[in-house]
Amino acid sequence: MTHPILPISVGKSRRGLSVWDVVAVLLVLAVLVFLAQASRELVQPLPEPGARSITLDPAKLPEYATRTTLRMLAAMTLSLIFTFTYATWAAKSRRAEVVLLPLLDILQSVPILGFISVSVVFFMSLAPGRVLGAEYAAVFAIFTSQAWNMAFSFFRFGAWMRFWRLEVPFAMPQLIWNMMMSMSGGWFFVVASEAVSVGDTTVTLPGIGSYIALAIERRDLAAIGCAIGTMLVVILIYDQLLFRPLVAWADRFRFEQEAGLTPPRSWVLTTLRRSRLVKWATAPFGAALRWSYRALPQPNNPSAKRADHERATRWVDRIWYAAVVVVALIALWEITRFVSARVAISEVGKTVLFGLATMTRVFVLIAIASVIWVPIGVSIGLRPGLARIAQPIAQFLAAFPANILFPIAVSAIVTFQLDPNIWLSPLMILGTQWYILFNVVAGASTIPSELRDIGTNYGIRGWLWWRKVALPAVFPFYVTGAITASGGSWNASVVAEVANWGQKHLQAQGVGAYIAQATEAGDYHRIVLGIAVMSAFVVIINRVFWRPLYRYAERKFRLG
Amino acid sequence: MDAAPLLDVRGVRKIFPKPDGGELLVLDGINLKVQEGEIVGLLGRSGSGKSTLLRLIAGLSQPAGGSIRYLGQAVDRPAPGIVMVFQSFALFPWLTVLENVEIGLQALGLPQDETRRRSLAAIDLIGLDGFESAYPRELSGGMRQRVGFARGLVVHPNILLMDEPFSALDVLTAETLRTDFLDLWSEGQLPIKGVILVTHNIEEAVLMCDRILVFSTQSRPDHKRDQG
Repeated sequence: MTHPILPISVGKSRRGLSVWDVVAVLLVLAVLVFLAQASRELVQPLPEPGARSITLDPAKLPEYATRTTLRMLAAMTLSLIFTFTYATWAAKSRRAEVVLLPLLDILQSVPILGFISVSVVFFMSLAPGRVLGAEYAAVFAIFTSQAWNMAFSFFRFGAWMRFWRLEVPFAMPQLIWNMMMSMSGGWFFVVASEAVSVGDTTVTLPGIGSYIALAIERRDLAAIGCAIGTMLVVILIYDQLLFRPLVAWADRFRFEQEAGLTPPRSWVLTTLRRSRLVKWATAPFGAALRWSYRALPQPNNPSAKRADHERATRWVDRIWYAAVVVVALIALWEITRFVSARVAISEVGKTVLFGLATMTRVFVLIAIASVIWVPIGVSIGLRPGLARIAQPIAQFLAAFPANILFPIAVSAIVTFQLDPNIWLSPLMILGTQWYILFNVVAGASTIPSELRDIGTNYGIRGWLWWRKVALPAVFPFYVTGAITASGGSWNASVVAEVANWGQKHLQAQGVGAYIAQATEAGDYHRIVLGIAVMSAFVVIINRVFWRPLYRYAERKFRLG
Repeated sequence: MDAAPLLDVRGVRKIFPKPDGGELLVLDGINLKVQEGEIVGLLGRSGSGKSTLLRLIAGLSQPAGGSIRYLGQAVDRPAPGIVMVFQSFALFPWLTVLENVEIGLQALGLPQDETRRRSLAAIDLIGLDGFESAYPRELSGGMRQRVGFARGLVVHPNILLMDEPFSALDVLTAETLRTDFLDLWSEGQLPIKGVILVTHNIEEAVLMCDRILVFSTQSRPDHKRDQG
C-alpha cells in the first residue's frame, strides 16, 4: 500500500518518457472519460411511466454494459469503504463489537433482493423524479451483496500504522479474493436489480439487466445471446484491467513461501509499474501515508487501558447491554406488529413450509454439485500445470452472472413442459457451484508433497486413496466452499424460483418465490415475513449445521 | 558371493528444468550398490542431490539417464519392497497412529485381521504400545517419527530409505531413536535387508552406516541450487 510501485525499473527509465508512460496515460484518461460520460446521464430525468427507455438494438449494448459496469464500480468502492470503517469501529470498541459482529452475520443471511424490495421506494424518494434515485437503489443492492462478505475477511484492526503496514498486507490476498468472489455475486444482483418493480414503483435503469428483462418479455433469444456475449466481454475487460493487476500485485503479500510456483502476472500492472509518470503521481500519497505514521498519536498502552476499563466502566457495560436488549425487544415488537397487521398466523406456518422446500433444494443441489466438483477439483489441484490453465477459466465462469443464462433454461423448460419445481432448482446453484470447485482446487494444491509421496510410495490408490488421503485433506476447504455456495443459493432462490418467458409464468414452491411474488405485488408485510423466514433458515442452518461441521473439519483435518 | 545385489544404481543422471527455461544438472554418473545387511549413508551438504537420488530409488521420479535395478528389476515406478521415511514424518494428521501404520498394508490389499495384527506388532516393536488411538498432533516429534518407522517396517520392505529421519528432532531424542533403531537392526528384529540413510550429520553417518558416499558440490555455487 505504501509502495505501490516497485523500484525495479528505476535504473531503466532514466530516459524520460517511455512507451509505458503513454500507455499508462491513455489508460488513466480513458477511465476518466468513461466516468464523466456515464455520470452525466445520472442527472437525466426519469422517463415517463409507460415510455420505453430500453431498446433491443444491439448497438445500444455497449452503452448499457457501461452503465451496468459503472454501478458495479460504485458499489465496489462503497463496499471497500464500508469494510474499512465498519471493521475499525468494531475493533475500537468492545461494546460495539458484541453487536456489530453478529449483526454482520445476520446481514449476510438476509436475501439481497429482499433489501432491494424494501429499499427501492426509499431511495427513489431521495432524488424524486430523477434517474439518480433508482441508481441509488441498484447500487445499494450490489453493495449489500458484497459488503458483508468483504468486511468479514477484514475484521481485526489495530493502530493506524500497524494497520497499513501489517494488517492490510496480511489481509490483502484474502480481501482481493473476496472482492473477486463478491464481484460475481455483484454481477448477479446488478442484473437482477436493474429491472425491478415493487408494486407501483417500477425501476427500469438502462443496463444489461433491463435489456435482458425486455428480451425475456419479447421472447427474443437472439437478443439474449447478444447480451451474453456483451457480458463475456465486460467480464474479460474487468478481469484484465482490475483483478489481474490486483492479484499480481497482492502476490507479494502471500504468507506462504512455496517456491516453484509461477507468480501471477498482469500486463496492466507491468505498464503501471514501468511508467515514471505514474510513479511520480503516486509518490506524494506514499509520502503522506508515511508521514501519518509519525503524526498520528500512538495508541495507549494496552495494559493500562484494560485496567482503566475494568475500574471505571463495569456498570456502563451493563447499561449498554441493557440498551441493546431493549432495542432488540422494541424491534421484535415492531416487526411482529408490522407483519401481523396484514398476515395471519397460518401464513407464517405456510411460509416456513416454503422455507423447508427451498432448504431441501439447496441441500440436494449442494450434494449434487459436490459429487461433481470435488473429484474434478482434486484432480486439478494436484496438477499445478492444469490448475494454471483451469484457474482463470473457472474464475471467469464464476464471475459470469448466472441469471443471464436463466432465459435459455426457462425457454427450454417451457418448450419441454418440465416440472418447474424440479427444473427451476438447478438455476439456484448455477452461479454458486464454482465456490466449491475453487476451494477444493485450493485445498488439493496445499497437500504437502511428502504426503503425496507417501501415497505414491506405499502404492495407495483408488478408493483407499480418496478415502484416506484426498478427501480428508480437502475437507476443510470443501466445507468453506459449500458454506459459501449454500448462502449464495439461498440468495439466488429469490430470482431462480420464479421465472418468466414472455407471457408464460413458471413458479416453484419455495420461500424465494414467496418473496419474489410479494415484491411484485408490493406487499411489504409479506416481503418482511418472507425475508424474516429466509434469514431465520439461513442463520439456523449455519449455526446448527455448517459451523459445527467447519469446527470439526478444522480440528480433525487441519494439515500440519 | 556376488549374487544380484539388493540395489544396483548405474550411471544415474538427473536434470531439473529451471523456471527461466534452463536446465539444472543435479546428479551425474552416480554408481551405487547396496548388498544385503548393509546400511549405506549418503552424506553431503544441502543441494548436493542426496534426496534426489533417494527419490529416484523410491521410484518417485525418473532419472534422465542410467539405470536403477532392485533385485535385478528396473525401478520405473514405486517398487513394493522399497519404502521411505521422511524428515518431516509425513503422517496423515487425520488418521490415528494405528490407521497411519495400517494404510500401507491396506494398499497391499491384505485382509483386515492380518492388517490389524501386523500393525499392532509393528507399533509394539517400535515402542509405541498404548498410543494406537492417538493422533499424530498429540505426539512428540520423536514419537511421530517412531510412527513413521512403524509405517515403513510394517509392510516388510527389503530396502528402507531414510531421508534425514532424525534432523527434525532434538539432539537427545534423535540419539535415543538412533540407538533404538540400531539395537533392533543388530538384533535382527527388523524385517528389512538394507538401509539407505541420507544425512548431513557426519557423526550420525559414522555411527550408523557400514559405507558412506560423500556427495560433492561443484565449484560454481549457482550451478547447484538448494534442492532440499
